[in-house]
Amino acid sequence: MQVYHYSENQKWFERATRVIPCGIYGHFSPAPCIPAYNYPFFSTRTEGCRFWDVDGNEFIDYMCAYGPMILGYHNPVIDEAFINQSRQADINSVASTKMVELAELMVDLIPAADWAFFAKNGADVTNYAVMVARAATGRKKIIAIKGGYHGTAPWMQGVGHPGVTEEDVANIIRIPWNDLKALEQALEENYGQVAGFISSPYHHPTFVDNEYPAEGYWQGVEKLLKKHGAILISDDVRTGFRIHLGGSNEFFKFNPDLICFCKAIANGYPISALVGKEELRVAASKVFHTGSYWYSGSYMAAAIANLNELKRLNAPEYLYNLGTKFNEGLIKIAKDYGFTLKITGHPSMAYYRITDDPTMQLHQKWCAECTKRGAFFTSHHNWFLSMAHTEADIQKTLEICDDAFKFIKSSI
Amino acid sequence: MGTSSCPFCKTEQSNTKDVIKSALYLRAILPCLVDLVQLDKQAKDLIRSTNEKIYFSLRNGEKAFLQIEDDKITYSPKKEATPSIHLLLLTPTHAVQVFEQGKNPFLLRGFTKLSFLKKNFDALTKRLEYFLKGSQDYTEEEQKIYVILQLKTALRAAEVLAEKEEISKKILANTPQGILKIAVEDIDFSVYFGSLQGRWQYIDKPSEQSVSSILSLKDLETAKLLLTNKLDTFAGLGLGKVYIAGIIPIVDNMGLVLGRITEYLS
Repeated sequence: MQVYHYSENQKWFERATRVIPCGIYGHFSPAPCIPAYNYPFFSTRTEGCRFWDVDGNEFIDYMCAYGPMILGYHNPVIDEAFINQSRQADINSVASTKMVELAELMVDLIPAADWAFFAKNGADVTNYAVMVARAATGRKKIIAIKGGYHGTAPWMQGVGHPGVTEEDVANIIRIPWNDLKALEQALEENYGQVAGFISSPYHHPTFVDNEYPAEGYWQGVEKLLKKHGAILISDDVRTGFRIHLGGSNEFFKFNPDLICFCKAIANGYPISALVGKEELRVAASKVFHTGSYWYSGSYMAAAIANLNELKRLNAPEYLYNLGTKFNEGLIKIAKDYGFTLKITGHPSMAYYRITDDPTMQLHQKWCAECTKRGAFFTSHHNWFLSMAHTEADIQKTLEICDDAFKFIKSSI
Repeated sequence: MGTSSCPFCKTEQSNTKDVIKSALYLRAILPCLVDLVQLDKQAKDLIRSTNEKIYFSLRNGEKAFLQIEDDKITYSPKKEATPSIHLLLLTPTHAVQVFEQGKNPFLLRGFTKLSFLKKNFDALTKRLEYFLKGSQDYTEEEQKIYVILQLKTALRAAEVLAEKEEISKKILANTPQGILKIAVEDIDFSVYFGSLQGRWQYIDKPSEQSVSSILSLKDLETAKLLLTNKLDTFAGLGLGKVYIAGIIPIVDNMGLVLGRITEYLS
């Protein structure tokens, strides 16, 4: 099987390092690509579930822009909705009626939602959710899960990270996932001070296996928070609309006070949302939170079209079934070569780890070899499937994975 | 730690920062003299035919024992024999003043060795400072010494921070167990840091099989650019000058701890 080379990517990266910190920063930086020289950095074209890099290499994309792409790149329905609205009115000096229509759609679609608020990125709404919880309770402290990711605002990061002060994280209490006793202890030790608990619906950190909630976990969380008068915030930014169209809490059967959405809401068009319960509407209204581009009608039109398409196509079921089939194929191929591939999390956005090497270098090599053959995998973040991935794409990917396993096996 | 007056030197009892700084000087900087005389002829000449045992003792605190013999130096964090020179540091603040401002330590033993201390030993520490401070004018050989001493000092300093600094403790408490190898490929040099028996520490030479994470720098020039903040690690990764593999949170979190050193040593 042909393997890719990246000379043009390298040239662009060299240019980038002269004028941009890191060359490419954040989660698109070379850091998650191990080794970085086996990965593309810059794309020129996208279509369906594929992208092409500046060297002309074609990739079946299993990161889906790290979650936003759910219907496929350049989905005509979503693009048309966006273009039509942008021709009529996009950013101007008053709000778009699309904002009202999108809020109505989300309130109808999401059982836990009585109202909706829109912003641009996931962190805009996780920040807002925390402020709403504080405004509603008059308390400072927020409980979060160790390893849980809610964006890059200082309070969301760990102490010791550059630019983050001890004061920034002074009111954040981190507890282990699936640990009701730890939650109870945190609430008791900070009695009357906890404004809310923020968590993803299931635990999907980087570098470690993903974990579903234990039986009765979310019900226990709800009971404890109710007892202590604290707000339950579901950070559905990564999972939202992939697992269940009514919010991933519907899949895991719990009832949050606030839900943060982003990524898959508009198939890549930049918009995020916080939805909440009636009881928090007034508190939400009191928190001043805004941004220059938060009223763009075009992105809202794209979100409306996207949510309707996801509903029409019953996306969560398709993604679950496709992911299950893909995972079964991967596990079998790994086994045929004498490896154990552990797969955790939801099949539509699972986390993969070859368990035969505790240092993870084997897994890193395999992901890199797959990428060099045209299946874009990163080694320590959950992957994503989209509605544009077909069974034929999965079959082609399995062939790539087989060839990469063969290469790895021969090089040990 | 609170502050109170020392009855002998009338300096304030040290704050936490000085406790850490003094430990860094005694446990991260002084051990570099061992490497310095191995790597640098000029330094080696300063101790030629010298036979001394120098004991630095911080009252109620860290110790450093340097034995100079047969043109080499050995280091121990505790007294290994009766010293020929005993230098007392009354408080961490006093220790910091000795190392940073040239204030005198209390000489408890070695009154006849003043000449060695003021000439050879002082010159030796200045030579170390030359490499630790960094310079644009290094020869190729000096650049190699600079990189080796910087990396060794950094990882020894990380051990001190892992033990004494609250932020580093928090970072490492959330770090998987394992051993990190930092390598400079073109000079075939490696240093190691990791968790052994539940303690994060500088490790002299572990087996390659025990290494769980790798941060590899392509060449001396890359190392120098990183150490002088002229290249960021992410850019280095993309340019193929820096390579990471293995358990990445160890690499990431060690980067955070190493970044803490500049809070104490400039």
